[in-house]
Amino acid sequence: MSPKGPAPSSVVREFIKDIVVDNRFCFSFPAETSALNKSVASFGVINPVWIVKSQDNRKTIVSGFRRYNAARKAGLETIPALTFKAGREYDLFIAHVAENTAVRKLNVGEISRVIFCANEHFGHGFEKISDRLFDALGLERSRKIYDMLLAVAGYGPAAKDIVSAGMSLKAAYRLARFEPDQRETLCKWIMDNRYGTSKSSLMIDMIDDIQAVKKKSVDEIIADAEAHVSPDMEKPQRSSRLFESVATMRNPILARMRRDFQTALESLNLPPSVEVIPPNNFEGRHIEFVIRARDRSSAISSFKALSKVAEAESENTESSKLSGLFGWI
Amino acid sequence: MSFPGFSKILIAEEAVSTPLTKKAKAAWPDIAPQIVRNLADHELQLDMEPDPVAAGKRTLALGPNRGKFIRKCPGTMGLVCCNYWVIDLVEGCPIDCSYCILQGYLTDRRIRLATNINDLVDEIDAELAGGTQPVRVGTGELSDSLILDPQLGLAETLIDIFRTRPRATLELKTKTANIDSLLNLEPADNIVIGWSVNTPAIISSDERGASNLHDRLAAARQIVKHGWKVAFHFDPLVLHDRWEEGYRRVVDDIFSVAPPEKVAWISLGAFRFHPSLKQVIRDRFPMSDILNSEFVLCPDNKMRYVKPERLKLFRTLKNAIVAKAPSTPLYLCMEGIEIWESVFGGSPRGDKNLCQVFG
Ligand code: SF4
Repeated sequence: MSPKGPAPSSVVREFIKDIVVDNRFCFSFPAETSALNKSVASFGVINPVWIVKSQDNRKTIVSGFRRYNAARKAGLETIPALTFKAGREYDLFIAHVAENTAVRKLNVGEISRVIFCANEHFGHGFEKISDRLFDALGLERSRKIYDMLLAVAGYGPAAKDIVSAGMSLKAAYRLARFEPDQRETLCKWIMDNRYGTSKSSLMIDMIDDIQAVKKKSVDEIIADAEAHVSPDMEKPQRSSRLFESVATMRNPILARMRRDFQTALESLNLPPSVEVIPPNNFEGRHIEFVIRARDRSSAISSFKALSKVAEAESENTESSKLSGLFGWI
Repeated sequence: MSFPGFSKILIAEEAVSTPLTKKAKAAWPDIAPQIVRNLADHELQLDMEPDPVAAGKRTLALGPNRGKFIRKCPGTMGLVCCNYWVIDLVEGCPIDCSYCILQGYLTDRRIRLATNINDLVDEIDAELAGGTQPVRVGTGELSDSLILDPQLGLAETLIDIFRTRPRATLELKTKTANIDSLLNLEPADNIVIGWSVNTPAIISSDERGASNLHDRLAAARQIVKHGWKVAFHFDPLVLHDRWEEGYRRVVDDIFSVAPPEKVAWISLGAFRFHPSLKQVIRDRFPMSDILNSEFVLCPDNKMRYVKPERLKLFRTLKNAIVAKAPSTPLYLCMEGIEIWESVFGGSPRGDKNLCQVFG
């Protein structure tokens, strides 16, 4: 059986200076990788790129952009290429996507770009795109997913950077709820604070909620958070304080409960070997008192410290410090 | 187009000549039904539609229920169980509530109607055999109990089944005013017509296709007049602008249509949702404010209002209800014992009004 797709020539060497780029086929993000650049500089391009030759002999690259860029950077004159006749560009586009997905997992930014290109540049709608491309991309055939991907494709550069760094489509789509300029501001701020993927997703979620509940803009929320954290603090510590500050804005009642609990706990002066753990989010009935002991004597000293607290409490029921721990129940 | 406005009816081959199928065909004469060998092979998920949930609500699928009709409401570890049995005769609901768990819960998004009602009767008898404890049974878990009643008359069928089985109390729970068929029936002691109620603000923003509060309560008034018992469910209680005043007014309105002795029970359930429902609500109900509060993740993996807010909601409602009807059974839905104790000063076991209801 012979394949139905467009047939290429055998491999030829093309002059790099004669090649033009067709952006409809570009979806790799980031567009360059240093490992590939190094390899091409040392060994040249091994896998041929794909070129479409028009009747007027115009040579357009449609697959292998990273290799092409690396070859240019390395100052190579020619590059190995498979050339195709013009006219079946959409088939080539699909083959190009399939070639890529066979060797690596595309990130959400790239997948959204593929869908955008198929829609915007090749003029296909949901039915045709989901029919031929979704399988190649490993996507469920769903209109919702298609709409989400098109929304993500419209993001600005900072948002694209964030979603391409390993975010799931669902998490990436949360950014669609922001106005474009606010989305960029938020993403730049997140990048600046170097939150990882899951913290970035949480931050987006929290700021989205705060926007809705408090009717504040992203700029205002960021300014509020910044105002609560000293600018002189070192980066990782400051970023995590900013995160806490936003979490407090999102859940002020829970934050107050935690503060009250902490204050009550500190007033008890328990030894460090005793940990007091309220239920997660104060949902539950019990507090856990955990005693950590390395040996018999450290266990005894923890017990003694606890008995002191118990004695003080039983003598002083009026102004009990211990009951402060249970105020949330 | 009358409500519910189906655009497609699928009928399983083996269900073509059942009485229920005939009724459905007569009720929607403009839709040419599609007879299929296996319902499961046809448009289950509707994922090619822009809004699969809404598309599911426009498709009625009739066929026999191959599984069980009755299940005991599974309850959740750590939460107080209200001992409720659920009958799944209809799965899926033409009403469209923003907070509806069915949006993410059912793998089949269509409205499915079980045509083998005779099997249901056998199953009920098998479940009721060998016990004496009273049980409560409802059909309003995966649908609205009366939404299809004008067309299909399912209420009458169910009432006839339970009328002669006094160990069970059947509750038909609704957000509609579809009570005409009930007004032609003799009331029974073990049948309760329940209404989910909310403030007019929440009904208009978050309960698309449901009757407004006025119509629900006007229907309740008629039902009470006719001699039926009624129940009311404040579920979900939602924090929103001037909610205290809004809910107090709903309580007043309830007791202006139903004297306390006619109210079999009232339940209170604060808005709760699986985290995955958040995006669904945001996408499908962009104008809803229902998510604009402080929620926390609870041990059963549902989001709930942070505890002090929940307590405020429950206490406000409890005080308003108890002031009007001190001995009407009142209970909380899907809450842990510590919340019960904080609101009622004890667990349901210590409440003699509730013991009769919970069995
Ligand atoms: S009435 Fe009940 S089942 Fe129907 S959509 Fe509303 S919450 Fe869901």
